[in-house]
Amino acid sequence: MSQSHHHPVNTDSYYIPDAIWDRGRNVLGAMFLLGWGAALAGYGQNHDQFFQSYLVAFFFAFSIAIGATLFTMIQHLTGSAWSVPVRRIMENIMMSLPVLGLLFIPVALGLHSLYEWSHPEFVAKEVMELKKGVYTNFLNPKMFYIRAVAYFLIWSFWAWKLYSNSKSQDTTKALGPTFANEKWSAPGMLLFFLSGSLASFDWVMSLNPHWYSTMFGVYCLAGGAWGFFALLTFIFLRFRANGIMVNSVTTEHYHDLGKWMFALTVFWAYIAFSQYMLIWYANMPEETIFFKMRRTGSWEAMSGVLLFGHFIFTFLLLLARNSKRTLNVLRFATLWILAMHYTDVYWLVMPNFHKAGIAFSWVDLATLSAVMSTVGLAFWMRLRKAPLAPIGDPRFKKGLEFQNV
Amino acid sequence: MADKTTIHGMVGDFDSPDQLMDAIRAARKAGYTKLEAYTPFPIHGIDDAMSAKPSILGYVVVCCGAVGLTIAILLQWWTGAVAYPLVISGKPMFAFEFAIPIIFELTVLLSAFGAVFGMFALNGLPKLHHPLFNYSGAEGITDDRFVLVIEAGDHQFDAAGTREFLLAQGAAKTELIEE
Repeated sequence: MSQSHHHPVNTDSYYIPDAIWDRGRNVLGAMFLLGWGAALAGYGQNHDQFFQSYLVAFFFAFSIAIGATLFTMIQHLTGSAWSVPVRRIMENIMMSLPVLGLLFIPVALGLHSLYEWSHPEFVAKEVMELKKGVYTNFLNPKMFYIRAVAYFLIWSFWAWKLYSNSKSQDTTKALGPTFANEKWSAPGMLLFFLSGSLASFDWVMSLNPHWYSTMFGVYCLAGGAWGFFALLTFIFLRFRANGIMVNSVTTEHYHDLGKWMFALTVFWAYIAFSQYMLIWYANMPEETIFFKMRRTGSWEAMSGVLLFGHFIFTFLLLLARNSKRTLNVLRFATLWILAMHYTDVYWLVMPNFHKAGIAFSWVDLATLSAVMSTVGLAFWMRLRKAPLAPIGDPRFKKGLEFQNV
Repeated sequence: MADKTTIHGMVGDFDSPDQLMDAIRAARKAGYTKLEAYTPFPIHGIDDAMSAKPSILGYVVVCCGAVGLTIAILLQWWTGAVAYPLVISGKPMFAFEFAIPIIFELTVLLSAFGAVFGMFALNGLPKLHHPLFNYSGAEGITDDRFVLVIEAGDHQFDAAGTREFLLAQGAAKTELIEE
């Protein structure tokens, strides 16, 4: 129905030019060497600080990857056309999961440094008799490792399945993989949501083993999905600046990506507030401790930054239709969101260790650079192995022509 | 009805959305400003072609939302802390912690009212009659016809000339319709 003579002729190539690829590899490679070098130096200086900073960086990257997986599956389940031109990059971020399995090793090695419950003395002394069963059956090093291996096996298998199905269409243009991915996505949603929640419990919530919140998993996944959409949009804005897929990902697509960032801004706030209000209202010490720790010293300021920066400011920034269609505003929003998501993860992890107040360390930056560049290099390698968009998808053409009414 | 009938405008009935879009562009180019298009389904880009102004509905919704937010705060603060203070499970007379769900609800409710009733108002709904019903082929617009009406209020409107213009754009049929 759409008329070709109103659209600019789409001459996009869906392959990354060598010069740009080389430049990206050099930047990521430099980050990799500097990051890991500095992180190792940090490890030599202070083991505990290294593991703490590393956990923040790891969980930041992990939450984005699992957000990518959930939303890739949602695209399949809803049969959406608008997202097809950007879906390969979604899948590519999703494929960070196997790499994150390797990056989990330092967290596993830092078990005794990070988690009090890993010490039998703690369980013997600090845990009341009634609750000891939780520790003997669930929250102990052996079960922690078994669960982590299970998570990464399931996640990697699912991600690989979705990715390879999608890639197989590039040349065959067959319909089969589209249906197959729909079939994998339905149980996948359930599985990823549950395992993602459990992983958040294991890796972050258990830093304070006395405290629990059933909403904690949703909170982490909501933030991760938010960060994922910011990263996805940021990547396409960088592509655009380098002349890649300029006619394929248009203002219409950016508008929709902006809507998702806006929606998840509100969703995160909704979950964060629900968790806060229930705890505030019940007013039980073993629950309020979480917020008491985050209102101690300078942590209170960071809580304020999250309230105003994570929610209110981003909400107002992305509210208007025009701001979602103005690429400069969107570019700022993506960087802002990524910074806020990192702050959120930092705020979840660090008050458990630095009780008096915020204590930034250069190791925070070193580990962030190390983790993100490792995931980033793997991402960059995959970019060259397949087209930048699922060009064989039956909805690809419709996705290119998509317009908001 | 009135003794003296007034003319609403000239209908141009087209076979395809493409023809309609071309006719709209040509009409804009020829200097016509009071145009309305009627189609069986939304056509992408038609707003731009018609140079339609973006709707002000968004601003209506934001204002209604802000009113809802304010009412919710005042309502809970005044009833809870001023008019009838009552201590409930040791909580403060007023606090944002417990007030936010109601603030949220009222903001959403009034925003939704603003969106629905604002849309009604901006579209002039409910409307019992529309001049287009006087067009003999009006049923076709719910099926496979694409209609452009150049209204009589247009300063360039002149029945013979406008008919000529629409036929030149490929209209399969033209008709002068009354108010």
